[in-house]
Amino acid sequence: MKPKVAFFSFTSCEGCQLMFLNLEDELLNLLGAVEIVKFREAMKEVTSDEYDVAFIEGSITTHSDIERIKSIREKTKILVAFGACATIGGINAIKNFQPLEDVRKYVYGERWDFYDTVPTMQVDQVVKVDAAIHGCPVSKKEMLEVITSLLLGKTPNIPDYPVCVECKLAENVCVFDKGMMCLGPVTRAGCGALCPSYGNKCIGCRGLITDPNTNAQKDLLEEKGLSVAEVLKEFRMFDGLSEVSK
Amino acid sequence: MKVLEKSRMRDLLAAIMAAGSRLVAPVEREGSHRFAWVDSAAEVRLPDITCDNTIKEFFFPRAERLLTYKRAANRVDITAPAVSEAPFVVFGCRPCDAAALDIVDRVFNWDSPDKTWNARREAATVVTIACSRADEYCFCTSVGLAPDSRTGSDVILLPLESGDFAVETVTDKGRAFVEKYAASLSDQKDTAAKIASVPQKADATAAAKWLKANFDSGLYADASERCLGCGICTYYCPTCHCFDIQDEADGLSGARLKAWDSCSFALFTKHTSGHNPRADRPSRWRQRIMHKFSYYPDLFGVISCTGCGRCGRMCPVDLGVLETLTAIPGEDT
Repeated sequence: MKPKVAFFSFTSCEGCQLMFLNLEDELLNLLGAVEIVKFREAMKEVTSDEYDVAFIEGSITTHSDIERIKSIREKTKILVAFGACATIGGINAIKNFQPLEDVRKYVYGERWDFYDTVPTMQVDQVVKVDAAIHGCPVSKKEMLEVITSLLLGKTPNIPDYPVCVECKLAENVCVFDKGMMCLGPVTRAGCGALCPSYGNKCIGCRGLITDPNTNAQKDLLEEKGLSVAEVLKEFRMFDGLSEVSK
Repeated sequence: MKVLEKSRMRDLLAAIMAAGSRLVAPVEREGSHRFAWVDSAAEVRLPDITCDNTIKEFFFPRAERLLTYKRAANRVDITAPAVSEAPFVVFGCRPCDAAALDIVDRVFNWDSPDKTWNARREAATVVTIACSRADEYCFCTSVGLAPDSRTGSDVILLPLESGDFAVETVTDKGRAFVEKYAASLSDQKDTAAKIASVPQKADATAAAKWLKANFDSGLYADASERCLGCGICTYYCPTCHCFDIQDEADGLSGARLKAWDSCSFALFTKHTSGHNPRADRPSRWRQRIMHKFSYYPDLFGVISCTGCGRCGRMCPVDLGVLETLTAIPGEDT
């Protein structure tokens, strides 16, 4: 029997689910291996309330989110955090650095008190996560690596070294040498150094590696002319929940 | 003496390619130089020191397929690619690049000869240019080499004041190369070559003794305080040769790949059990230094460093092995 897969949206732009739909060349093959039962962005119907694998896009930002993710965890065998909002909090965590009341007023206007909010959490701060697919948005290659690994029952090969590694392999000139800032030295690789390869800096969307030398990275950014506040701003864009942003 | 005139360098390179040989030579990209496969002599641009990358990737690629497999009912079919290499010429590397080949030869022919490395070594003719300039990162003289060392080269070109190069053969392969392309060379009266002077900054041979006696030195913590763990120093090192073997599975078929690895990564020594004997940066930095300057000389009789300086030159935080070597107290302290 094919495993049943369901997709769930929490606080996010649903762009990672769109990335799944963008797997145009592989989609038919995937549908031969799994049965998708719930996928708001792609299907009108919910074909079953039972599922084996839950893909969670988005971060946890309300009390009702907390209840909902807990009930999904109870039902599913495997829970996959899908995309930066789910794996590291992502840009949703920017609000954690402001008073939540101000945030609600800014976003919802005069009826702000109708709308509940809690500080942004990544999914594994609330429930156990079995696999994580990083990135904003997720990369097709890594998505396939995780899905095929789950099907084969093996551990997916997810890089735990910095973006610099892939950037050097892409033979890019160092972003710092171009006079720009970059979070590549502490950010988890796996994107193929996409942003630096197209002339941008790394903004850290895949989260930090397990063992980042954040002090050295802060020194490096300061040495390149950023103030402490500016260094924190760089980190807080995506990595607001990590120790380094505090 | 045989001379390669500066104005005839491109003729020589064109002749090499016309003779059906592939060519690796320096090219320029975004203001930096790198060794690359070239299709036309016009692409070649010689830098005045060495290139950013090393020539090791033409012998020991970043990733290569060891075998492919396909599972069928009750059996597995394995296909290994044939090990054969068409001849190629590496032109314009520096003595610190060529010497690394000789160093790495030893580990790849230790307990089990590496067939692909050996096939590519066999297929290659290495034409080195001695250095007439060095930068502040160069330290070949600190590891027992020199800007005109012959080790690892088949032919060495010695820069002359005129901009031409004196051609000296080092090996039989080099002699055959010079004979084959004699038409692109000329005869001139002997002139002294203009070789860079590289000050000795450390004594790597003496360092080995200190390293052994000071395994728990605080030196490693001091140095690795700055290390970002990006692995650049190992990827750009001409002698770093560590690799990982991984299977890429796609349903019932897949490939086994051999790919560069780096001792600066936390996953490098992580065991399946979860235990990591080198869980922190100081122990990883120590491994890098000890492997190059203590373990490797013990096993193979040579230091695994050619003083090319890339580890410091390319490092985002300016941390090269020379910094640790020079921090080692001398005999008298």
